[in-house]
Amino acid sequence: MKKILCLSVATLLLSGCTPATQQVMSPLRYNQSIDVHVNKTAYLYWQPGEIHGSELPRQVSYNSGIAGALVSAAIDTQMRKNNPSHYTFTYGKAQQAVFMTSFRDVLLQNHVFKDVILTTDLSRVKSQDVLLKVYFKSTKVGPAGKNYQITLDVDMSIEANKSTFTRSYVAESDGSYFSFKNFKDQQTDASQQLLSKLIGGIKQWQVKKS
Amino acid sequence: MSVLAISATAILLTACSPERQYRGVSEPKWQQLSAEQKQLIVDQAYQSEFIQPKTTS
Repeated sequence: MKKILCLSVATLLLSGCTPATQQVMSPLRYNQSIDVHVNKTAYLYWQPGEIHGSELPRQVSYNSGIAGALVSAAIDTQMRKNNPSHYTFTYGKAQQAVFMTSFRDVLLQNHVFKDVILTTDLSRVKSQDVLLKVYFKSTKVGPAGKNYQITLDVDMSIEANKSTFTRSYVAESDGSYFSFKNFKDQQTDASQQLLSKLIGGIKQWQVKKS
Repeated sequence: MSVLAISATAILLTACSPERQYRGVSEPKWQQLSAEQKQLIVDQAYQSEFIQPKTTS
C-alpha cells in the first residue's frame, strides 16, 4: 500500500515538471552574407498547415506489482487525455512563430529589402510591395526510434510586379541515433535548414527577376 | 479498498488539471514566446477564423 501511495505521489509530482515536448527552439541566426538587396518593402505572410506529432512512449513500471502497474497506467491514460500536448512532440504554431520572426529579423539585418513587415492582413500589401508567403504545408515529427526527427514541407511564394515565383522545400533534421540531438536541437536543425533554403529561394527569385 | 481510494483520488486530482491552451498553443510553450510571437499567433488565428469561419452542423 505504501508503494502504491508513493507511486501515485511520484506520478503527480512528475506531471508538474516541464517535459521536452514543451520546449520551443531559440531564435535562429544566419551567419552567411546575403547578396540580395531590393529597394522595396516586403510583407511576410505566415500560413500554418497540417501538424503531425509523435507521442511520447508509455512507460509502465511493474516494480509495484500488477496493481501498481494498473494504477500508474490509469493515471498515465488520464493525464494524456487531459494534457495531450505534454505527451506529444510537434512542430506547431509556437515553433512556426519563432521561425517567422527569425526569418524577418535575418532579412532585416542583411538589408535584403528596404523594410520587412510581418503581417496577417493581406489588404496592407500594395502593388509596389513584395509579398512573401510562407506556407507550412505539413510538419511532421518522427517516432522516438528516429530521435523525434522533424520534417518540414514548406511552400514559399514571392509576389511582385504582378508575377509570382513559387518553390517547395523540404527540410529534415538529423534523426540518426548518434546525432545525440534532443527535441529542441531537432527543431533548430530543421529550422536552420529551412531558413537557408528560403534565403536560397529569394536569391533565385532575384536572379530570375533581373 | 484503500488501494482503490488512493487510485481514485490520484485520478481525480489529475482530472482537475486540464492544460490551458492559447490559440492552439499549450501554456508552457506560450510562456517561452515573445510578445510579438504571441501577437502573431493571435492575429493569424483571428484572420483564419474571420476568412474561413467554422461551420456548425
